[in-house]
Amino acid sequence: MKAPPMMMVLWRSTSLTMRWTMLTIAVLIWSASAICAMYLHAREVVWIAAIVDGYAGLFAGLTLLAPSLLLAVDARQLRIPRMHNVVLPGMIFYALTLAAIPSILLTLAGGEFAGIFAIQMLGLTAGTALGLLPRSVAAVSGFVPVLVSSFRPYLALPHWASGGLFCVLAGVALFCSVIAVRWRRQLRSVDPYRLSASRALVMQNRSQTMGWHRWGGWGQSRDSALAMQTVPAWMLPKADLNGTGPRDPARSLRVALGGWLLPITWHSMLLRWVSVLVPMAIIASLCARSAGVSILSLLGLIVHGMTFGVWVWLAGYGGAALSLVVAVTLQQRWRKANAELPLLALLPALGHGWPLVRNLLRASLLRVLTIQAVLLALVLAVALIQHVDAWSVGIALLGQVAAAGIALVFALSNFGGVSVPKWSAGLIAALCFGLVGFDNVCMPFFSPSPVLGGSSTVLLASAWMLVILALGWMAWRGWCGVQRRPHPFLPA
Amino acid sequence: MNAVLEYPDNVSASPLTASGLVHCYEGSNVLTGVDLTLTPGSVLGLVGRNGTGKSTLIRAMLGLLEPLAGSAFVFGEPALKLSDEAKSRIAYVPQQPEALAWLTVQQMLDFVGRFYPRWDAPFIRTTLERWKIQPNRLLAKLSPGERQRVDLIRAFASQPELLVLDEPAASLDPVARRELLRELALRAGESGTTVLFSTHIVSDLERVASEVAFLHEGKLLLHCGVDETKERYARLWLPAKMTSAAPSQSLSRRRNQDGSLSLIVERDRYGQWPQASTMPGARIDALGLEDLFVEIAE
Repeated sequence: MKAPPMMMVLWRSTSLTMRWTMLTIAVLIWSASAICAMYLHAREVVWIAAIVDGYAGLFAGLTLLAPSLLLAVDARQLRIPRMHNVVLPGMIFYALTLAAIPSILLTLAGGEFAGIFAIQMLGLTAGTALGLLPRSVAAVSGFVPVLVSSFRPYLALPHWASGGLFCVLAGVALFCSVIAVRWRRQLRSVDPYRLSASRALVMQNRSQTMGWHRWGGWGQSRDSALAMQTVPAWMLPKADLNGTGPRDPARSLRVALGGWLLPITWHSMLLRWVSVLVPMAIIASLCARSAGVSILSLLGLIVHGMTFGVWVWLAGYGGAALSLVVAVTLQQRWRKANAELPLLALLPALGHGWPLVRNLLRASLLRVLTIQAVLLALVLAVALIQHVDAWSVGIALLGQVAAAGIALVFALSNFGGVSVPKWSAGLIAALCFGLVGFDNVCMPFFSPSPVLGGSSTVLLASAWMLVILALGWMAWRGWCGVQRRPHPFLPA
Repeated sequence: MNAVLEYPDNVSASPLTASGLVHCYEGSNVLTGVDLTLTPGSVLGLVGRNGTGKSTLIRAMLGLLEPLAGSAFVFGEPALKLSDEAKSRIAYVPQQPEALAWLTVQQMLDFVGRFYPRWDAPFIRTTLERWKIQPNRLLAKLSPGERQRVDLIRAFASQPELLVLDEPAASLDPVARRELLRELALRAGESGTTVLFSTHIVSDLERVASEVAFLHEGKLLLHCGVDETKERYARLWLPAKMTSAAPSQSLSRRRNQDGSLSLIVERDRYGQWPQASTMPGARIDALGLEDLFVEIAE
């Protein structure tokens, strides 16, 4: 096969929406960072622009390069000859192109090509590796801004002269090794399509309901009912049916909606907490032993040492993640015509009209909004204690409002039958997590002074405002739909 | 749903009525003005090819989707605004039910049972035992056939006056299918339950249904008693030279390779076949239900 068509195979095999969305976002980020670097005339700005481009590269690696595995796996399973020889060179070609374009742009703006290129490759390989690792590993991807902020004082910029470049290159080599190992393992698996927790993230996200040849699963949530088939029964939470029935429609609706909204027994709750707290306690005790202090002293030191930025990150990231869990659950329930919707629509004694909608909103939002309120109170209390400036408090507040808004928007949109694209939850998540990450540019973890000046704070606040306005508009559309519909249990 | 406010005359008497239902998906018409009324105590089998809109019709009739036009009534109430009283008299089993996968069989039945005033708990116990379904198993872990049987138990346990089943036998093995048909016949015969079920399996329909309705290309082509179909419908075969005499009204019309014409025709109100059937060379063939279905659907 000739080179140009060979390169097109990989391009065409990615999801149409995803490749154009990702490409548009990448071009916008590249252009914006190059323009900033060109006109701000500060050496530091070029490196920040390179890191921002690298961050975009991480998502490009995750959404454009890693899904090449699907093509390779399918080609192997279908015994299509020479396809593998097309996929790998194609991947390398796209990786180099995606790294070269921003590097050239920033070099023209006065940057150092080698260092910038290394950062881009680090982002791309990290993203690709993330896509090839199990889904559970992806959960820690949200910690990337924290890690970058945490190690910022110890990391040197990747100049030729300093050791920073080799540090970044070592990272690239590490991610390349992970990619090679995971690629080989997934490709040679006896049944790569089998549902299991160790499958690559891209294999997990392959849409289960749209046929195995379709790669449109990106940005869509995995069906929770299907997911339950892969988990042993004893690990699944046990529903607590006490108090359900016509006397408490809201609690009954929580049972019917399932997922994170499901009321569970004390035994299940305990099991869930133990499975989270025990590993944390082990890690904490190891850290305490190495530091020569007790666990309680260590905890005290951590809490005492936590800056406002850390609290903002914890509350913002945690709040948005919780809202997304609710949003995805509701989206799944309102997508299926043969599951909970017909059951609820024909279940007597659930109520009608506004009381029913109120109960539905209570069932889906009360818990998540209570947690958001607690997080907000915590952030405000810390701000008061640490005498944080008004701008930082404002940004933290906006972030928390946006996080809470996600759950409300998806609830109203689903109940009101307003069409929300399946990938929208993923897009909003990326947007919020991205902005929460950028919050730490203004409120760094280990320093009271911001990385960038006042203008970036204004920009960040404006970005949050825009997100909130968009969410508000979506919520209004949903609310109009709720009022128009004869009952909320109609498919969205 | 502008027509919700217009109450047809037969609404109050019928457990389920559809009038002029229109619906489409992504620009293609699925229902193009369907009228259907169920007589109390009848067992209506709804047949049609894949994608002809059987499930959509059922869902629109029960108020589970908003049709683009037309109206549906359940026990005289608009389907989209049913009272609790009406809801407690209905049971519906969707095709490949997937509801409440996070509960065990027993939990799901306990939970749903709290909402129905006439919940038959002893029936559940005996049927779970008879159908060999473990009550403590998680619904998510059941096979599609087991899941369908659990949902059928759920539907029967509410002792409904109107039972609506969408392809109830699709995932069932022959033994379970036979048991389901027996249960349906029992419910209809002894309790006077009105049943609407969609199916592809014409033999099931012949075994249990009292009425049949053919849905084809979004339209209800015929609706009559199962025993009536043989008497009322037939295939009229006309040789090539006589095709011009073919009646304009027919349920289906197919030109054969030799130029002859095959039509599915209906007796008129005086019980007579169309005039063309009496012409020399013309032939009337009686058809079984399955042949009739194939002839219409082809």
